[in-house]
Amino acid sequence: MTPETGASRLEAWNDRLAEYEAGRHTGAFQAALSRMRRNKLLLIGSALGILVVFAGVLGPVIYGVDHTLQSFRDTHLPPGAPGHLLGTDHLLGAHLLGTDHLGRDIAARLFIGIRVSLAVAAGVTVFALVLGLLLGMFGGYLGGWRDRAIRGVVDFVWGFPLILVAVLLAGGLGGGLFPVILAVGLVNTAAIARVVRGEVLALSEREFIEAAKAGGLSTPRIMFRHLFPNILAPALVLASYYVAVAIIAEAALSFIGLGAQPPTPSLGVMVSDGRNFLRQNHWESTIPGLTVVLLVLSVSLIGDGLRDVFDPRLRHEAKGVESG
Amino acid sequence: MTASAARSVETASAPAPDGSPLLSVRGLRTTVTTGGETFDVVRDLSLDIYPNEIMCLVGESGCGKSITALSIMRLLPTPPVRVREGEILFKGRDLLRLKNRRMRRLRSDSISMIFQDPLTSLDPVFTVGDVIAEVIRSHRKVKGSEARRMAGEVLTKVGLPDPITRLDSYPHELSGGMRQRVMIAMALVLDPDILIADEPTTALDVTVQAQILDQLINEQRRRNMSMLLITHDLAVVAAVADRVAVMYAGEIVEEAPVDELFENPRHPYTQGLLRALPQVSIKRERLVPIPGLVPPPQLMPPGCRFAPRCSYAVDRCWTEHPELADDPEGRTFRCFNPQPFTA
Amino acid sequence: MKTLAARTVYMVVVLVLSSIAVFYAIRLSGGDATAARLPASATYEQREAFKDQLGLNDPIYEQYFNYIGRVFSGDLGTSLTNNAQISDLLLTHGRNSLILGAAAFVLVFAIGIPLGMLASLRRNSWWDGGIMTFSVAGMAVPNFWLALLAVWLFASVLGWFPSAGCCSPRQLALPAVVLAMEGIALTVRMTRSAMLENLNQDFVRTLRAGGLSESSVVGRHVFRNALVPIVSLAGLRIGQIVGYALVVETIFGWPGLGQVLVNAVLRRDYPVAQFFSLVLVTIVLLGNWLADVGYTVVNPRLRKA
Repeated sequence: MTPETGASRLEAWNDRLAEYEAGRHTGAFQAALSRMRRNKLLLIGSALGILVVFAGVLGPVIYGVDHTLQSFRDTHLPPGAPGHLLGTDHLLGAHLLGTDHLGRDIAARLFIGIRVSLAVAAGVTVFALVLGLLLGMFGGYLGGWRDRAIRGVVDFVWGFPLILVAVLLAGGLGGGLFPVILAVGLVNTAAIARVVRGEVLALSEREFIEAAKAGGLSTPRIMFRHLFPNILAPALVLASYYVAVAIIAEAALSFIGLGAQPPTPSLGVMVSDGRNFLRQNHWESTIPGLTVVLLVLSVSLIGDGLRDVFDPRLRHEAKGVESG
Repeated sequence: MTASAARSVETASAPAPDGSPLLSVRGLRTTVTTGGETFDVVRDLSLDIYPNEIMCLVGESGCGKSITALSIMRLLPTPPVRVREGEILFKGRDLLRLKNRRMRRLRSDSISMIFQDPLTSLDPVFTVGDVIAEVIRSHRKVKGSEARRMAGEVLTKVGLPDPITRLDSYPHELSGGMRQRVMIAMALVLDPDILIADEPTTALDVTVQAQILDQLINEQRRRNMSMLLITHDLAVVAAVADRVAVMYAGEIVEEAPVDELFENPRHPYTQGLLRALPQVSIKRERLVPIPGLVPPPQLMPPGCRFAPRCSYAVDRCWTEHPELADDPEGRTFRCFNPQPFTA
Repeated sequence: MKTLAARTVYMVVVLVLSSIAVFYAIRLSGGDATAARLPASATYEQREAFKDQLGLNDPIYEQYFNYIGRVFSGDLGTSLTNNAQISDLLLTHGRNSLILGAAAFVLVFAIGIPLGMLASLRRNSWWDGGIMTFSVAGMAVPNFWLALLAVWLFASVLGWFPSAGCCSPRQLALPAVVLAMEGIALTVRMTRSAMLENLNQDFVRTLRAGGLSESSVVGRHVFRNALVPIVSLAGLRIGQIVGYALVVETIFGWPGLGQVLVNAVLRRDYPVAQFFSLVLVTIVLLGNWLADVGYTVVNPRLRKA
């Protein structure tokens, strides 16, 4: 071996340093990936979520029992009991989860209830996300009187508890799912707009936005090409929380009689129907209730997991989230 | 840094410290643990502080200066940072072996510390007077009114304008310089033997820096107190230090009385620092930065830690770790191939 | 942050706007209101006559000012369904709601803050894990279902507490805990994260360097700093409790303001719905106002020097 020269030693050292630096960066990226894979919250939440969505979408098709059929000879059957209404060619030949006080199949109603719950939650969240993003971005970026006006309305709505807003709207519009959707949509829009506005204000002071402004880009171009991609991730994470809020609110309002009206099955209505028979047939109430919990849990776990992976800063904002 | 804080010329030639040191750090090794691996952030560090002197600890940020100070105070964030080896002798007692309660009593009573950022270093929801009074009453059995009187007195001494009104002020109502005076008052109210000042002026406006430094020096003289001043600013060192220790990558690489250090630095790193300094008395055409970066604690060169950045590095520097040693002239540094200093 | 006076003016403005909004919202259903009182066989003329009698055919802004005038003169009218005096309803149900709401409000902080502190001080221990699991569950379980479980377990199975009724301490226990649950869960989370955040602040190091005892540093200084966001949001908990009271009072048959409002909406008893909407909106706005005031009181940075 020839003795190394000082220069070659230095070169070797610099290579090691560069290797180390590179390793640290791929390390960070790999860490994020494995954090995602190892993130049990996200994993459990996604598994639960897929299960419930599957039940809501395909459950009624596979199970094949009409959720509206009543049979007064078959009321309060326990899970697994055979019923008169079920054809001989039926998959199970039995009521999977028993029947309720009108002899309706609980499992069939549960599947449709999940469907209603998911549809309301999805609709409300898309509505709130789009409107919240627009309001928050316009207010935060444009500033001035437009910002003050938007903020005034948003703070006004945000200051009210969701259930109260829903009850007030139900008082005005009558029962049914529409006032529920409107109330949850409005309150969640306000909540999302507040956060988005804050993010936009923070981003506006960053160099790349300053540079875009200095470079004479048009306002819409800056907003949608530069601001929007940076705000979408936190907004989506936040929206997952509001999916949970929407699910709980729909169930709670249906429970007290202001949401879904018969014959639409809703998880809240089912819990309410079963409450008078708690002592004898607790499953009539506990199973739909548990389903709501699972739905909410899966959505919250996904939200928590996404937040951990994408944006730990949101932890702070999520503290103020009000549900139900 | 202005010269207003400079000591008078007669005392500038540092006295060779005699007598026994007040505080003696022996072979300190402090580590940080991240991701299951443990790295040295301070290694084989020995340091003596004698009565009445100002010792400066100099180095780039991240070289372990603050960790050294926090090790002495036993205020390291443990985990992940902890002292593994060494002893810290104060008046003959090893601080690292003291019970927590005894160590707590010592803090601010015998050894005080002030920090860099006066904005975040003061409790925002308590008034200045309340906190100083609490420091007093956690060490001395005095009435609340007496503690308040003492707090007012010490605020007056450290030159806070309108000190009695300021007792009831919250930190956010004070300017940066005023906050730093409050922190100094808090540190000095119990008349400690040693003050550790960790970059006390770095976060302040330039004009305020000189005032605060002046105040610190005055207090040090008046109280016959020792001071460990941690800074990256060689101008500050030149102005106030008796002795200087230069740190690089967790180690002391050179230690000397201030005049000797500035006149004839021995370690290539110290020499590099002086060349990079715009205002030293040595006449120079241009500033020469030190090439390269401080190595991360995860990846230390096997030999001399400064070798990758050193233009005098020889083979031995790459393979063997130099020890801090005295040369025949009595200079203390950590280098195999010292060269005469040329500006 | 605005000054106290500005916040107060803002609250009054919002209150006026809300009262208009509520008035219009409830009046949208005015056409159906006649159904509450008249038989289904009533003719169009009979319905119109009834509406005239109630002033429902006047211009709506006129109705609004007439209504507000009557409210301020103390003439709150009567229920359409049972002729009960609305002022009587306000007194009895208001009292009941106050008992329930106050109990829940106290529980939120009396349980939430100590649990949150314990979790933060025993970070990553079994204590922490258990408390945080409880907190996640408290947020995920909808309170109407929690109420049913509580009734099923503690009233039906164990028989420790009555399932409904008002207003003995034993009857209060279940609804108060259920009403407080999400607030407790939120407060635990907030306390824990605020404590941890402040434990990492520079000032903690300064206080330790000052030789203060660990109990003073954590129990006095860190805790006081951690309280700032918690107390500041305490007013918002009032609004939250009002919202949940609508559900919880209905389930437990607790004769409070929430139950009255829900029943009135379900029965289209618009004078009652109208008035109690305003009452609850006012309470919520007062809570929001208190949140602003509270924030200023506990946070010296916002006080005027």
